[in-house]
Order: sequence, then C-alpha cells, then structure tokens
Amino acid sequence: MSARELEAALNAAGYPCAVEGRDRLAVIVPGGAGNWGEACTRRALARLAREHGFTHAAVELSPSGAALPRD
Amino acid sequence: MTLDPTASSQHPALDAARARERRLVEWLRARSSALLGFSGGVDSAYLACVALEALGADRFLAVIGRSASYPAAQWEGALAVARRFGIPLLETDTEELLDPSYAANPSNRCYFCKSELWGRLAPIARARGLAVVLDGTNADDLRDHRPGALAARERGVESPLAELGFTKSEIRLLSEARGIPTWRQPASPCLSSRIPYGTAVTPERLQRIERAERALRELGVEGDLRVRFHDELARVELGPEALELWLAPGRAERLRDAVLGAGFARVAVDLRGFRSGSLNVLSGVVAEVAG
Repeated sequence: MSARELEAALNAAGYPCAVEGRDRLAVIVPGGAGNWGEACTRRALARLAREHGFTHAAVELSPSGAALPRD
Repeated sequence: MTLDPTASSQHPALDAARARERRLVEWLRARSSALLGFSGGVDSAYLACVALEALGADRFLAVIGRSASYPAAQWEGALAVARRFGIPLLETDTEELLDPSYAANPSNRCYFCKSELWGRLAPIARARGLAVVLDGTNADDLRDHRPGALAARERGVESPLAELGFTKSEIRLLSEARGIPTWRQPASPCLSSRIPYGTAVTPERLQRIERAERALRELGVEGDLRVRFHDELARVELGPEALELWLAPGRAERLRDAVLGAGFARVAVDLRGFRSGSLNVLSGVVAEVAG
C-alpha cells in the first residue's frame, strides 16, 4: 500500500487532499472545503483506499474546518 | 418480570428463544449455585437475571471486576440493573494494567486480562461455596478472535449461553421480554479494545478515550460508537445513521470539538463507520471479510 499513490488517485478523481499512511489506515486530510461527509463521497473514498490496500480510511476534521461539510 | 414458561406468543423467534431459556434454567439448577462475572453488558445482565430466578439470591452472586479499562458508564449501567432486579452484587478491583504482558498490548491481551479477572473471582466462589463460575459468552462470540476464552477454560469457567447456543439476537429478544434495559444497549467491550495491538495501554490513554466517548454521548451521539486511539489522532467510528447525521453541515464541528476537548490533538471520522473488531483487521490479526 502506498499513501502517495492513493493521494494521487484521490486528487485525480477530484478530491484535493493529502494522505497520511499509518500502516493499514489512510488518514485523508482534505485540501479544501467540500462535502466530504456525503454518502457517495464517503463510499468513493473508502473504495479507492481499499483498492490501494488500506483496510481503513478516515477523513480528518481539521481545526481550520477544511474537512467539514458545507451547505 | 418473570416469564411464564408455558406462555406462547405470536412471535416464533421468541417462542424458540424461550424454549432455550427453559434449558438454561435447568442447566443452572443442575449446578445448584453459581458466581457470575458481571459487566452489565447485554449478555451478563440477561444471565444474571435468569440465574437469580433459577437459583435464588442465596445461591447466586454477580461480581464486577473494576479497573481503568472498564468504562464508568457501563459500571453505572451494571449497578442500575443489579438494583432494579435485586441481583446480589460484589465489586472487586482488578489490576491487569500492572501486568506488563497486558500493558504491552499484544494481540492476546484479553488473555492476560481474563487471567487476572478469573484469578480473583474463582477464590471468591470457593470461599462462598458457590459451585461454578460463569461468564456471559454467547454462541456468536465463538466465531470471533477471543483469546480471553483460553483464560476462562484454564480456570474452569463455564459459558452456559454459548454452550446452549444462545445468539446475541436471542439474548436481546429475551432481555426485552423480561424488561431488562440492556436489551438494546450497543456492545461495549473494554476501553483497551480502542488501542491498536502493539501500542501500550496506559491509564492516561484509557481516560482520554473514555472522556472522548462520554463527550460524544453527551453531545447526543447514539448507537455504536468507538473512539479508536492512534496516538495524537482519534479515529471515530459511528453507526450508519449516526455517521450520516454527524457529518451533516453544522454538526461535524461539534463532534470534532467534543473529541478535541477530551485531549486529542486531531480528529478523523472513519469513512466506513463502526466495525466490530475493526482493530483486529487493522492489525492483521484477522482478515477482512469482503462485502
């Protein structure tokens, strides 16, 4: 599994972010505002993470609010 | 509430479960007296109520083993169940965190915890002349990674719910029929289960996890909930409905602030939500089931 490859795949799929790999956990740090909590987005992110060998993926809720969903 | 064993319902699953319960009562009476390791969870609360009814208060004792890994909220729930149903109760402290084998958090950590627990409860049973020591393991549990079961076997602890084939859903159904409030309580394993294998278990980490989960409950998070420990990062696992609700605009900030307030520096929400035994998969102890 490669955090860098997952990060590239997510960015190519239209999800600007950085990915931090912690063994089998991918911590996705969003690069901007967006509705990261939407069900279809969550499914797409989790699927891409699995395809890259991560059993777990989590999206960070950053203090700046970057990962938080917007109206 | 006592079930009328002859009563029939319009609920075939409940009827089948009641038949199993009658076998449980016979099983317990054949032992004549018992001590139960009582956590206040769904299984042990149900077994305590049936055992009290089958054996009587002078031949049954429920014992809570308390330590930093036992959630305070569950302890409060256990006391409430005991009070409500008149369950004879004893509390004893356990010190698994002082055992370096436990604190190092190997994949068989539960073995060391249960060794400590049963090592304290078995002498209590002997001193009081109670014939057997019981736990609340059910038939579903036998399919999971449960290294603690070995410690139970080594101490001769019996698991009537598993032995008689009770599933978790049957126990919930029978608990509801008896009015035991735990019937819809989410499963609540010890706080150490939130820490990945190989990461040391310390009182400070357990307290931080407990504060975070309590803060989320106070915020209104319902259903399955785990705050998984990844050093400075808390990974929050929520049930499907809560995941949808708490990632909605306006709520995610409150969720984040509650966890930060408990002492974590970063908060992330697991995209797939709550998965029982999630850290077993993360640690590679068990393979992920496809689907």
